[in-house]
Amino acid sequence: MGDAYSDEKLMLAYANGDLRAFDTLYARCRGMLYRFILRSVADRASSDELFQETWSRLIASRERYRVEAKFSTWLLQIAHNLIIDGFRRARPQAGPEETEIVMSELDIPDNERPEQVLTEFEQRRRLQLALDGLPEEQREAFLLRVESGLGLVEIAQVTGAGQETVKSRLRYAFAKIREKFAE
Amino acid sequence: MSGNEQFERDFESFLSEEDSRLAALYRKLPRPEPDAKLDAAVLAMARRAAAANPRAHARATRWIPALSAAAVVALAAGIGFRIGPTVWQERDRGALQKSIDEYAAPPATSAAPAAPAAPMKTAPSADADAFKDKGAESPVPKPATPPEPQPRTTAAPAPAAGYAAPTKPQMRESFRKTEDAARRADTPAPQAFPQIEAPEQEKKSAQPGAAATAADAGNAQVAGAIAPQDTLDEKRDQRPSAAAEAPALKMREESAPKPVAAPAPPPVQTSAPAPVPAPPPVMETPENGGAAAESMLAPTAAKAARMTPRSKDPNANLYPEHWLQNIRTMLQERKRDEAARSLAEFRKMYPDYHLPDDLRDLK
Repeated sequence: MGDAYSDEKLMLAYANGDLRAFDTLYARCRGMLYRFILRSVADRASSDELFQETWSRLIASRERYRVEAKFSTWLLQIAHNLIIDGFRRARPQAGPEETEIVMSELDIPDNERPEQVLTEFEQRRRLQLALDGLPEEQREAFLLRVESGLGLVEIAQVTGAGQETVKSRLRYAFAKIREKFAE
Repeated sequence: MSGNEQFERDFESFLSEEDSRLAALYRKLPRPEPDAKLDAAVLAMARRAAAANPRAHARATRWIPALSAAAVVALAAGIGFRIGPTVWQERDRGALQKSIDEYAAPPATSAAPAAPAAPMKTAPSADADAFKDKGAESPVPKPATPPEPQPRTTAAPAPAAGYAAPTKPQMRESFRKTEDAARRADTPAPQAFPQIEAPEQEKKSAQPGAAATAADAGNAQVAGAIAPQDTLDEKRDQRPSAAAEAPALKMREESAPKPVAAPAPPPVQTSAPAPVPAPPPVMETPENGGAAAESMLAPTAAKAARMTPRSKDPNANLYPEHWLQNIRTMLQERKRDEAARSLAEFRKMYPDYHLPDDLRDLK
């Protein structure tokens, strides 16, 4: 069972009992899914729990899997639903200290943080902080676009929102991140 | 180009993955991955689920009902083949006994069920099965090609073309010949009727193909019953008819109308055959079931006796040997007077019957 098989075929093969198909599929998707979850919840323990729960849901529903969309869309949709449930259960998502850090970073005047003099490390740090400072829906749309490589239609499928709504969320996220990297 | 236009262009590039700067920057972020423990937990979960995969399980268990059904059918067929012949034989033997009893107890107003040209029924399976246990000992030689078993018909509309059932005078003649042959053979007293023919039968059994199966023997009996007239006449002369006559007798009895406007009056036992050794008591067990059937079919004396006037003794409806057995039972039960009375009736009814030694002196 090599890479010549699509994620969808691998999933169907696993649903028919092919364990090697699942191993391949897991190897392909584990990093993307984990980063999406981790950057959505910003908590390693919760990320581990949600990651495992996402795969558990996928395994449990493998019999019902039909190739109607990309496998990654389905997987991320499961994770999205779990993340949303987690957010609903545990608001606010960030602690006071973390919020303080994010807010202090956001409050930095543009003229005091010229990106051209920042090191690459600093740029990554700023991006991470900008992501953390995004509203939940905007951050998720941004992650689905950048991390998972989904298009508007797929993001809309994952999040259950309309394409225009997704595009609007992405637009706001993009604008806020650009603010952090004002040229 | 205004700031808005630049923004829109950059945003469209971002959507179409042309914003290499932001995407490249994002890819430079740390790329955390699940640790090995988490990977192992997920993979173990997947394996556990696959092991209990209901679809695979369904595939594996789909054949279980079919296999179970096939096993049950095979088992039932095996049991049927094992015990079926015994059950059928018992049933047919019972049917044969019933028909014989019916024949032995005709309606009170009836003279006799004799119908010399009565339509012949094809040999019933009861007769055929009655010989199963005897197999090669059947008194009828196995034909080279056993005929097809005829379907059981209870009322054939027309007489059989090739064979007319023997008339009672013919039977008496045949019976007399049997008695003579028995005397010449100097057989021991308690010997059964069919054993008179034992040497001939043994010779036939030694021939190739004579070790016929029980069914074949039954078919042979059927063949004997529907054989052409000359063949039967010849056989009747050569071997007095234990096998060939019994089915024919039964056939005639079944097919003939019971409330008879019989053309011939019943023959009287006074011209009955010479004394014949009484057969031993017949116990119908699986071991000697064939002997029981044999004794039912063989004794021509019994056939003659059935034509005798009835007695008030309830045993009068029985075969002579059964009657005698009942008398022995009475003696064992210390009902000597009753036994003596019954024996007197027996003597009155069968004056020429050669009584066994143990009853000969009973007064």
